[in-house]
Amino acid sequence: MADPIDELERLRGHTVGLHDTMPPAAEIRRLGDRRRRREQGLVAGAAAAAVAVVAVTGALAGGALDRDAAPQPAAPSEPPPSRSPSVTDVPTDIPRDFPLDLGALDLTGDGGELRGPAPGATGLEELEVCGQPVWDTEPASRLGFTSTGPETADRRELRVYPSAEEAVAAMSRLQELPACGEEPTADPGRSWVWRPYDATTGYATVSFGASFSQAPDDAPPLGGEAYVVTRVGSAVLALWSSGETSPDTQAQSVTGMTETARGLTPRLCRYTVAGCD
Amino acid sequence: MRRVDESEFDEFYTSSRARIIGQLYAMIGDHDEAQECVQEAFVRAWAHRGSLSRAQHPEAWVRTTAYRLAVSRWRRTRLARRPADRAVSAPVTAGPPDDARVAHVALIEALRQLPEKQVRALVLHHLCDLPVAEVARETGVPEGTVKARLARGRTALAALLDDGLGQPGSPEGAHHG
Repeated sequence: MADPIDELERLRGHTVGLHDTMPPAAEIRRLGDRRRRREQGLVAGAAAAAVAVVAVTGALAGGALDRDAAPQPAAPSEPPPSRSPSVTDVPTDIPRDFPLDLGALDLTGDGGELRGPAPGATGLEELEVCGQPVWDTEPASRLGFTSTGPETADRRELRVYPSAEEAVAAMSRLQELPACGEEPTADPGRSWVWRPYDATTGYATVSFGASFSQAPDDAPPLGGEAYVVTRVGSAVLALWSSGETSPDTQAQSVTGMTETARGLTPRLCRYTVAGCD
Repeated sequence: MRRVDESEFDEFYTSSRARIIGQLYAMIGDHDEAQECVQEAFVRAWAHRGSLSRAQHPEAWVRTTAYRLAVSRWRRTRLARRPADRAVSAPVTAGPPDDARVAHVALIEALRQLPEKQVRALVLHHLCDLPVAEVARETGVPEGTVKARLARGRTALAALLDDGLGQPGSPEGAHHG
């Protein structure tokens, strides 16, 4: 029997030669332009509704939203209802010394990788939930950070939008989480299971994770990912970690990530109209 | 950061689309589905070309988007309990000469029986020629996890091909997806 890897590498020539009925590039661009125009139109209309939706999504998300946010005085992450912050109200830049890498491990000595914090560094710029992209609009500025090790990966993204409404619209995508449930895998009897977590930061926060389900007559599954996403004014902070976690240990990861978010949110008050005092 | 202009995008699309379709086909085992997802990924790439211009590897951006679309569509199809419409259909058999085609079809059938994360690691490493570190970056898992998936995938693939279970029409080959 031939080496399966030789067989796989030989597939390269065969697949490239397969018939391709894709439209010309101009048609792809036309479809992309139409998509973008439609999304931009939807964002303006959806933003106001999304403010209300995010405020009450806690119940829908099974407690995923921050339950401590409501008792907080002055609700610092919410703009005044009759006023839309503009670029003259709050800044849209990110200070060069913003510590997005707060508390992150440096595992470069163990073969890991460290990138950022930097505007061009990989973070969560392609965040998707349930196969759907979360970020519909481009932020005014962003910061990315990645730290990987032999067994873990830690990615972070700070996105500052031109207005709080656009930040709210970005967060509203996360409402799709309750519909995620389980994703089947090609591994018989084993699913990729999504679940919400409680994460208390004092601001609008969504937390969720996914891990493998237990297959019958098999060892406990290892491998999962967790998210903590927080909005403060026109800024959205997204934290992601991945590793050989089980559903039990994943909750501990979320606790640690929530602590990181709480450490960073005071620095996001500059993106609110009223501040956090 | 400067955005991708029309001519750059057109050149990128023209030069990479067949390769990405082939790679996604190897991952999911359905050429038509692979083509549809790659087309949608390129539409999104142009619509969100700010993200594309920031990406260090635009081809990886499109491939990852297309893969996620395929997984999402596959999940929805499964949930709808429509096995006749499932994303993973019979592999394409046109193109390669007869001997090669037999091996090609057997390999695709065998890949379809492996866990999807192992298949993705195998294809990215051996078909896309990405080093383990790049595979880890593209799939968002630690390098150790990638190495484990590669090792398990190679072993399982060899066993399937040795047993002839990758042959089209074999009972096991019809249950993936």
